[in-house]
Amino acid sequence: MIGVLGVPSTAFAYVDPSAGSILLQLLLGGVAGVLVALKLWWKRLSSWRSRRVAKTPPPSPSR
Amino acid sequence: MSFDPSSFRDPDARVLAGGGPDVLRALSQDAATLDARLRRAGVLAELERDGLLIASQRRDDQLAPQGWSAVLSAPRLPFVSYPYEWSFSMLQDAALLTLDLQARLLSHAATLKDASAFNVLFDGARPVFVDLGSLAERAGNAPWGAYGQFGDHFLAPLMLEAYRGIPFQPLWRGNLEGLPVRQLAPMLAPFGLLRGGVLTHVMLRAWLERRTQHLSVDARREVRAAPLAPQAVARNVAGLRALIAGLRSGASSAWATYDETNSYDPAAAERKMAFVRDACARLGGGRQAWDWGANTGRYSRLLAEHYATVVAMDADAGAVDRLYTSLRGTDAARRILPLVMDAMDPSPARGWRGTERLALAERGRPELVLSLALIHHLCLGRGVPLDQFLDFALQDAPHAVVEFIAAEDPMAQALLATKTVTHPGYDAAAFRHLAAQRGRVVAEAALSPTRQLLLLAR
Repeated sequence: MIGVLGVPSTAFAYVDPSAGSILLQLLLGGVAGVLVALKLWWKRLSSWRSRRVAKTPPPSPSR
Repeated sequence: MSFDPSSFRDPDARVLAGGGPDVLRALSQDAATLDARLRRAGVLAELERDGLLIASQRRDDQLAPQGWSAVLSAPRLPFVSYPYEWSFSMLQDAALLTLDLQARLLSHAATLKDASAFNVLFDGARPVFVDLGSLAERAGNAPWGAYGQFGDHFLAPLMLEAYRGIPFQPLWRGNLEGLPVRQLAPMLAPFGLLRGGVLTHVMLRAWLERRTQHLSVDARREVRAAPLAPQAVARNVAGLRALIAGLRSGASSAWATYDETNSYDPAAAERKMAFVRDACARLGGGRQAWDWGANTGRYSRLLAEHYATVVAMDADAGAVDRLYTSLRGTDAARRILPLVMDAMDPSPARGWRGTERLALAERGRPELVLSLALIHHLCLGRGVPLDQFLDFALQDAPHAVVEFIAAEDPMAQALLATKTVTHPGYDAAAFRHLAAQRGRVVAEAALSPTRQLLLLAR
């Protein structure tokens, strides 16, 4: 969903903007920004939960 | 054609090596297109006029290096300085300049793609945004990609000094990415939590960074692509500006009031001024002079009447800040560059392969060096041998004005009050003898029974 809303950005160029600093800008950016951040957050959170519920064993590291 | 060793990070713009009167930059196709758009629309001219961006020209007479599209030129500033050499107000002004430029670019569908403090240099005591390669097209509804870097390079160091009274320069010097906000967070907790901007720009950001550091690649891409309306980006920039403009240094300074509180006899001070004035007149002035231990700049101002650039250095950041703010709006601001610099530990070469940021001595060739009321700090206070002090005074310039201060002088006595060591061989006769071994004594004067001045030629 976010992929549909969002416009891919090229302006980030070579400075690595941490995900945290982008999320903070969204939160500071007013209602619309907060909504986007919440959606992202919710999506992450719910996918994390569904992984936990599925109880799929993590692949063992091959090292 | 080769590139400047400090210019390699930006794939769209690189500074060409060479020391001519202009700095030449190669631009990629994308950067050249943006430059042409902003130039055509008169945006660059407007930014130059308002002091937000260094003046620049397209140089179609210069062949772009292979793989590059265009060459830009901008005047070379007389002296390169780095954020860890700036006082609080200097870093603050550089931050405000960066934000003002960003605000203006946003209104022209452009942005700063990085917010490095190294984008700013000082021309005398005036900040100048020099990195023309930092300008980029603003992509649709993108947040400001350089906000995080702005926080590390500007906001965090300023907050540390404003809210905790801790000078930022040593930390900045220790890390060429400034002071990462996540490192500042524990320094401000718990009492700093209620200070302006701390909860959001520091605590919330540090928490979000911790929470998102293990995000998957997909999730990171999604965050990067998250839209933020241009007005919201502009509001954030305006909010940062108000926050930074309101900060004041909380660090204490031992020397900022020295000029009013020193025990100097006015007649001796006048003789000292006259000696320096005569020395400048005798040497005929020139391009550049350095003033070590400049304090609040009394002698730097005198030098500025004869030299095009005066680098006024002092280890006390408070004194440097006072000089910097007192220069605002004056004619001398064009010529005097105040810097926080300890003669015992001048800025070394730093960064990638040790060539990214230059050591102090690599950045200028002064014609005259002033070392007034410095000798007792270095020799009595820090144990520098007298002969080495004279070597130091003459190492960078063909001429030096040095002041000898005997151990019996009240200012030297104040330094020695808590010390038990003795300083055999530290006396006026030894000083005069060692000086004459190293150079020619062009002029000399006794200011008081405990102070004498020499003009030395190497």
